[in-house]
Amino acid sequence: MKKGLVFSLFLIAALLVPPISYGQTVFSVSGKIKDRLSGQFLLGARIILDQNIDTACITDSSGFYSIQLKPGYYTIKIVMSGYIEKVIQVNVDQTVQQDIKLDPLPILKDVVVFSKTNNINTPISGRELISMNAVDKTPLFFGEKDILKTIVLLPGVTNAGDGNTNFFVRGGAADQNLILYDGAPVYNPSHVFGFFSVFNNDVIKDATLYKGNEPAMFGGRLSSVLDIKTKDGDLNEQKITAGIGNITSRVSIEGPLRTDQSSYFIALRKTHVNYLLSLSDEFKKNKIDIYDLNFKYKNIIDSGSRLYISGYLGKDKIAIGENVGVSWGNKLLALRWEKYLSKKIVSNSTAFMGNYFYNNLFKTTTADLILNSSIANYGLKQDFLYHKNNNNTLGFGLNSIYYVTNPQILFQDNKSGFKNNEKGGLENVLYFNWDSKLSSAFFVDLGVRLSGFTVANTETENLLGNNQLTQNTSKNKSLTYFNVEPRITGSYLLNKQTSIKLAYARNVQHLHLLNNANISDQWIINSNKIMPEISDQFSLGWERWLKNKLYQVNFDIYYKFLQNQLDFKEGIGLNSIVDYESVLASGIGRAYGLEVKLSKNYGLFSGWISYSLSKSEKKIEGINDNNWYNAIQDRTHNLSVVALYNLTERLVLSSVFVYNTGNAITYPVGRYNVGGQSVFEYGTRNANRMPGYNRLDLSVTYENKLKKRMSGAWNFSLFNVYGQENPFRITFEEDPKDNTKTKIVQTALFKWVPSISYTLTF
Amino acid sequence: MKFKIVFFISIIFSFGCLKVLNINITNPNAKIVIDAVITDGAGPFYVNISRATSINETMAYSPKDSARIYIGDNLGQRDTLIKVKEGVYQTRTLRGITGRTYFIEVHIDNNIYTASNKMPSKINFDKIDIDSLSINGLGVYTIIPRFTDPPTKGNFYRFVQKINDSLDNSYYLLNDNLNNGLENNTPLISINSAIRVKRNDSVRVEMQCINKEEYAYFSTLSQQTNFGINANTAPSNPKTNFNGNVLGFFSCHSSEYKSIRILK
Repeated sequence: MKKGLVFSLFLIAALLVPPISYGQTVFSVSGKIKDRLSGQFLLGARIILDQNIDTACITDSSGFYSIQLKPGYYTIKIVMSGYIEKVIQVNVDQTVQQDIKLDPLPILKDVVVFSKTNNINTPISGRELISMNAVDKTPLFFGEKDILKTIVLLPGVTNAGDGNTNFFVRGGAADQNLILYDGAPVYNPSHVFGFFSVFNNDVIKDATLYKGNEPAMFGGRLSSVLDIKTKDGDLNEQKITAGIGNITSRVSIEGPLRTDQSSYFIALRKTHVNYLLSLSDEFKKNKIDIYDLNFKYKNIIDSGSRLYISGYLGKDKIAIGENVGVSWGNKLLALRWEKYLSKKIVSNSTAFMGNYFYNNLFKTTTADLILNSSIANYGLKQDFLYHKNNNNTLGFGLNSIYYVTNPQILFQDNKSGFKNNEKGGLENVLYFNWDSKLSSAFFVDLGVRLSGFTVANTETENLLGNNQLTQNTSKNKSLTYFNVEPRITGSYLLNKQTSIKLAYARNVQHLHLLNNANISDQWIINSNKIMPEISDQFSLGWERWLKNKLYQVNFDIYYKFLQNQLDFKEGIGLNSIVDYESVLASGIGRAYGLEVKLSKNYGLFSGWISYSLSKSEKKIEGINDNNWYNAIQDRTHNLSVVALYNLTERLVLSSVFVYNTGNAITYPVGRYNVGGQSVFEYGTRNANRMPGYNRLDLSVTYENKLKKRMSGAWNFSLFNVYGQENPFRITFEEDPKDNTKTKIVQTALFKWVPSISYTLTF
Repeated sequence: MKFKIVFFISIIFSFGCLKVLNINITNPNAKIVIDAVITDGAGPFYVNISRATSINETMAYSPKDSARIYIGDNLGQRDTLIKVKEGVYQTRTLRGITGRTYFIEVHIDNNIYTASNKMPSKINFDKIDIDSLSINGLGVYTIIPRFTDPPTKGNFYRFVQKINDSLDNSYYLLNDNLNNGLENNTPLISINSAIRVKRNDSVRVEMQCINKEEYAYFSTLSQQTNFGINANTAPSNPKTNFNGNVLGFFSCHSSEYKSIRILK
């Protein structure tokens, strides 16, 4: 069955392949590139032929490379950040299959590769390869290494503020980012309302952020895709890593199940703040319990096929006193089978499922109220990558995801009080991608996604009653939204060091997050009233490398036009939303900006400066007299400076400075009296600004070798060195001393946050 | 909810800090405010006309504008209000009767502002019960207004509480989403932690049966006091039922009072 499907897909793809003919016999040289010590496959290693400067090929996420060569002797150089360059000789007289192991650079050497670089001639625009080294070495917050705190230092990416893991990419909302964990979507990446993310850094192998111009195999969100890949267990030896920070302890164990054939990786992270809370009489009735459990299994079935099983289980449980509780959690499971159908064709079959829930509990003497919201998904993906020849790579595949949403159910004493009807949505996608080198200087990446989204129950019903919830299915017909999402990126090399890139992409989004301060986090899907969100992004980039890639300069400008953007209507109480559709209005949006990044990629001193100037607005009927207004995520300026200095072989200093324009918010403009009470009159939506956000962090990392196989690392960090009181929220209240005056109070979450973390590996 | 918790966590780590900001905000186009209330009974009823001020100006209740105001209902009542003092107008003959639709017409400076509202049926306010609740280990008293919601859906209630004759400025709103047809057992708990009923306090509670629009109006107002400004949902002005560019509401509801003294 599956074989038949694979075959017919292959046939379709073969028919779609543009007829590029070549007369002379060529052979393929292919294989996998991996880390000699850990056996990890390496993404982004460059294969360079003979004396050429141009890269012939870059390895994909499974470490795979494939090049086409005419018969003869070749010298092949493999270059990868953080590894010793390797040169091999190849005699091409037949198809060559060669796996290559790279030796990592000795850790305590003067060359520290800090930021990963894209290859100058890749035709992908707005892609950021995230250096896990940067995540490791930048200052920690509460002792946690956190990828989501590092990506906000990249150009075009901004943070939602202190105590928040939400990030905004190119003026898009937080729900417009697709976060993938080994291919499975994550619906809430935050712990403790956003103090740190669910991603335990010990587990992450690499991560890539696409800022809206992702290849056609990705889609479903308007602004970005953050593709996180986890580590495989070591195939040769057992390893244990343990760490302790201010608020969490963590341990990970990995090793072979059968040497060189199968391995496991298990990581557990748990908070240990409750004993701190118990020390205070005031807070001892409050509890914070958080855990993350990650696991991965890898099996090399034969030389051409591998099986991966990856899972995540995590939960937050927070109790405030005896009467209020909040909990939420994610569950993910992904199974991937990678198979080389031939030397040139890789097939990846993935099955995944995920579930996210959010629960609020309020206990009163008379009743227990539980407000619940959840989303689940089940997906199948089939991806093919065909390295036709050195100049042409084709990607194609299809995927289906079934979503089940329950935006809100309120239970009172275990009987349902009200609920929105459960909705199912089926997303089917067929995509095709052609990556081609048209000449030695001109590269193009063409892609298209054909997507269909079927909503099973189009009408949103709000069911009320006392344990007598019935759903009227007769009037609920299904409805399908079809979309064609073209993607194109062209890249032109002006010279060996300089390239320009031009890109266009359309993205469509069928899931929407209602983030309401009272209930929080309700994922909803399209209905007959809520249409898919659509974005069209145009971008232009210029990149220059200097001094043998020591320095790099990037300029990017973009313009994004958005349709069917949602926002809360004016003058609607959100306290107890039963009918969420009645409080939503939809309209258009636009976002545009300029991004600059200067980086020094390696050396004793390395780091980058990134700056974005941007605007993000919405225009929705019924809001702000139908005029354009600032989106919540609008930030005019956003500056990050990241610096790393290797003081000695073991001692690394790092610092981060950030500045961004304050959040767009709505201030009251006046006061008036209704019913004997003074109330505020509000002005234009999001027309005011919180004071600007700025902060400097410093850290020291000290690594020491304890025994032959044992090493430890201390990290001392100070968050917010000069104690800037950055606004978290601003409230307007009647001045208790003089009720004709208004007191404006700013709440800042953190002044200084020192932290210590220790990691032991053996 | 969310913000309270985050704030609480910040206290745990002792890093949260408050600062009073000095922001100059002006209100150049101060709008007219019409605050009119009709309840069931004989009256007289009052209409307050004022202007919004900027957030740091002394509240001015007496605008220069003189107004002509008429209120009538769908069964032929019509009353011209008389001015009792600057900005305050009073009905002479009008009676409030549940089930009727009332109309108001306000003439100010060559502009006419009109609104209408239907007074919902009255539901009996049976009694007040006192309950004690533990919040973070501290015992506090709460008031449970007892009434039985009718079997038909779509009933809305507002409660106004006075503790020792001073108005509790919290908004207590109830609907029958959860307890349709049942006796109410939801207590009045203020979002403002400074407002607590203590031993020996005298409490007076007014129960108002309001309609959906009025519920939405006060519900929007209640959010302003609950959350102030945060990054998630933009606060906005409640939707007035007056036509024209004015603030305020023409409120029509039943009214019934119960009092109690906490002796336990």
